[in-house]
Amino acid sequence: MSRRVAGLDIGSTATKCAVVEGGRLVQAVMLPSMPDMVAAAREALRQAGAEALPVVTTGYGRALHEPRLAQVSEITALAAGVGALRPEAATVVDIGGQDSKVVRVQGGKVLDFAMNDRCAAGTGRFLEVMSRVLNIPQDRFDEVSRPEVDPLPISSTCTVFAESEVVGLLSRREPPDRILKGVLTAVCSRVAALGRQVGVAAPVVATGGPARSMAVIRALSEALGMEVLPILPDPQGVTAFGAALICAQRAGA
Amino acid sequence: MRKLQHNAVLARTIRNQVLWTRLGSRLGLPVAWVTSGSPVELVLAAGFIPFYPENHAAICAAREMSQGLAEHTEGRGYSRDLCSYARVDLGAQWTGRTPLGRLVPPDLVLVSNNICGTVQNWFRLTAEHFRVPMFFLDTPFHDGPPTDGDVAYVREQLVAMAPEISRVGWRRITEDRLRKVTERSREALELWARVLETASRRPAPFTSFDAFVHMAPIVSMRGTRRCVAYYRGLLEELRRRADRGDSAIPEERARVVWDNIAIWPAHKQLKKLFERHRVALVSDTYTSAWTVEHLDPKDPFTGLAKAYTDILLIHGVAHRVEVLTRMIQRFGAQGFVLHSNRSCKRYSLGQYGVRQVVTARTGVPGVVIEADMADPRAVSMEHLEQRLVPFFESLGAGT
Amino acid sequence: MGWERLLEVARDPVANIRARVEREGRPLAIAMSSYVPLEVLDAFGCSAVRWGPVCEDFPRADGVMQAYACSFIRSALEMLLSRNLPARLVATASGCDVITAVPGMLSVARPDLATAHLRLPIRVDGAPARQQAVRALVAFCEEVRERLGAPLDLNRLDQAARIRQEVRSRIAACFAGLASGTFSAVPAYGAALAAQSMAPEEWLAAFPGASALPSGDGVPVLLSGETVPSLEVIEELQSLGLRIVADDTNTAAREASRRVHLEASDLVEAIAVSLADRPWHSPERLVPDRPAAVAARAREAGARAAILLHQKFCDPCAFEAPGLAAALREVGIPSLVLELDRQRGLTGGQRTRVQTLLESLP
Ligand code: SF4
Ligand code: SF4
Repeated sequence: MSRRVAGLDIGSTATKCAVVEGGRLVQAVMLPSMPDMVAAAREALRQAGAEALPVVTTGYGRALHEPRLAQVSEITALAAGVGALRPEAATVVDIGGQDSKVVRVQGGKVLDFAMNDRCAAGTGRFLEVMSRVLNIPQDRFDEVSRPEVDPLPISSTCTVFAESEVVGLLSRREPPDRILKGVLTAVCSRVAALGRQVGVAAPVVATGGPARSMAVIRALSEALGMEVLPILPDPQGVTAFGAALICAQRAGA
Repeated sequence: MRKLQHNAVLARTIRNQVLWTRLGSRLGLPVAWVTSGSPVELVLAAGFIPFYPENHAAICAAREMSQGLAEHTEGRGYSRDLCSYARVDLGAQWTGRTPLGRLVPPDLVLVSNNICGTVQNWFRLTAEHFRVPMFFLDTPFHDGPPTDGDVAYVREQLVAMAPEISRVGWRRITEDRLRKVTERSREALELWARVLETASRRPAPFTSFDAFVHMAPIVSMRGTRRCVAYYRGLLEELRRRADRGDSAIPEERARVVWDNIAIWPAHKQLKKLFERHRVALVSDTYTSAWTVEHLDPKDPFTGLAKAYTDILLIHGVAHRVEVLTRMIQRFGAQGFVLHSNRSCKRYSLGQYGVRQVVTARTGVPGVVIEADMADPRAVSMEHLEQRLVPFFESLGAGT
Repeated sequence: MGWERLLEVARDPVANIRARVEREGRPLAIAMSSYVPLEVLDAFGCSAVRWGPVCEDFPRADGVMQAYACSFIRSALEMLLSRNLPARLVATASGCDVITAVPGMLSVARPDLATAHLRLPIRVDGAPARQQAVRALVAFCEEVRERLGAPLDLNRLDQAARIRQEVRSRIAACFAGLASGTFSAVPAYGAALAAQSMAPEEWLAAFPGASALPSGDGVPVLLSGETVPSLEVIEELQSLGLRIVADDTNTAAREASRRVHLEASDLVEAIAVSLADRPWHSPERLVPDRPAAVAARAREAGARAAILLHQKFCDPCAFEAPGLAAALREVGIPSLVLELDRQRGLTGGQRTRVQTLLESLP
């Protein structure tokens, strides 16, 4: 028997819904979570045509949506999603909006994980701030931060300090592409530091919004000293997909 | 403005010290890793070569190796909020990476918590890593002079550890040997105090930026003849400079004093910033922390007990206020800079109050700057300039 | 009365302290460390409390101290500076580098407030340390006497030592009941938190006994850390599906483990020795085998995971964490460090981590 089930990832910045059938993704939706997470969750389900389906919720707002079959943490869901998409992966690096995680996985299960909270360095938030200061929208990162560009070192990791450092570099008329490259290097070195807490094993895959950018993937590979593979085309939807797979399992679908 | 000849002498002295340590250890001399506030005289008397991990961490920072080493330690689960000297040195121990080429492993570690609570943990991990014994001198924190009870407690521990240390070393700690070492320590410390004192001349022939560097022998070679010789030479050179009216910075316009450890990742840039604004950093609480009184060749154990329960960082706010007030007056400073050093809670917490009281007492303004002594990720030159430049300008100095 | 009263105090200690001071009309003495023996402050005629709760904003504290100190001390400072509590005396004890800075900071920011610092040894092995503890406590008493202008009442000390000991042993019994499942965590921590601010007589009168409050389901875990900032944290942890079966926090079992030899001829001395000989010390003391001992306790209690509830910027905790995690791992117990910073409860990220830990247990 095979029926449709849903996974709903209510993140701090984006809400994602995935519908699977027979272990395959049949529908994916992404909406901004703000200003109303509860409404965003409902809307995502509606757009995915999943209002009547059994659903497992995950993400920052996972407890906000009812009714649900179950709620799981986004790390467990992420591991399940990666397990299906890249069964060979041993490590997942997820750069989220408010937090980043490095998860050691095996067969869709979490072996160990590290996660930074509170400190914005090494998260999408840091990139967002810098993108604003540099006046380079995030979807132009790849275009600006080309492989041959030499990064300018950004030494501070504290977001506030780093911001004034970047402003200082700009006022000294340093080229923005080199600064951006420096910013990416700084973020990825923070993520790599997180990785050292659990030990990064190959193969490594990257998820989360910023992982869409090849410039970020390159910086990440460099910081970790090993090749990082993106999960394309939707690195941000893996967690919702994983939640849907867990839902399928629990619903016996 | 002329360069100090002793910059070259220092480089040579340090290099020789490193070589001597390596050679000595190869010849089978025992090595003791010690904290800056530990009673190093004990291990010297027992024939150990001392090694100072704090100093080592500072060198790593000055040679731009600190970040990588700290990150290694953080990767093992140690928080970034811990003292960066500890993170850097532990990183060097665990990776074997050091600007010194190779670390000489200790035969014992000697720790005193008279500078902070960090070292007891840092050196415990060191002792575990090298599987050597740790000797710990517990010194009660206080905000007044140490009591007789405190001194008795410390003395008791010193007397108890002496034979144990002797057993690991190659000769027994006798009162006689202790006396000799103590005498040399005292001599070097006196010379160092006079070296620092030369900056009270106008213009100052020497600044704290120089002192931060030239303190290396007093930290790591105290108790040896070479140390005494070094400072004798330095003092002579400085006196000559002062007599000639040689200034450490071009046309000194303002004099300020400093509280806390140097900011190694920005040391050169800061030095230049001060120079550019014609501000002489004439004294600081850090390099003068090694002017230990009390050392008493006649009763070495009691002298050591008193000396090591009465160093700067064992005291609280009231004492710091005293020290800074005296310093401002003695050196004719028009302002003071408090380095709020994220790494060193013992040194930094309380500085806001210190600033308030010192200004009330001396009428001289102070500024607090946020940085870190060894972690470049917590140092922002932009922030330092934003704070310091207006401060310098308010003192009538500027570019 | 009973649990209702204890939990009410545990949830709002500040209101209770204020009411108590009004009722008792005695000077309020705040101890900022579990190494300050409250019985001594009782015997000086004070309403003695131990600071435990944590507030979320420190506008005044940030004016007198850098932000890289633990929120436990920052919130205590905030309370004192906001004059939210009518404190007369603040008592500290040597331990970490944050607490030792407190008397100096207060001397500038609140010069009207009396302070007394107990210069306890950091090493806790052997006779010299014990002797130093005695000297330190004697000096501390002298300091308090001078600052308050009141003598130490030895009769009262005898009584206070007894009754405080009674409180501690009942709290210890509550926590012993966690492992066997005869007692549950919320009342246990409630009792411990309430004891920090209630008069011991009142606490004993309200305490209904340490039995027959069986705990619910959940994955059995050990909780370690310095300060449990609020009862909400415990409830939040439970709601995530864990059940605390062993405690190693200063708020609860560590402090409750102290025993004074009440029949000793010199009670001040006996109290000092009880501080040095506390069976379960905090990591700021030099106790090399602490991680192994904690791990053994966790295992005995049947814990399957451990939560290390650390204060951000707490050096003793941060230094201990990796070694403690390793010791726990060695006995098959995975652990998680949760750093508390300016918050009474858990952050979203922390809830996620706890949940992931439980979901990933074999
Ligand atoms: S905490 Fe301060 S005193 Fe202690 S080792 Fe670090 S820098 Fe030195
Ligand atoms: S031991 Fe830790 S939690 Fe306690 S006062 Fe010190 S830093 Fe704060």
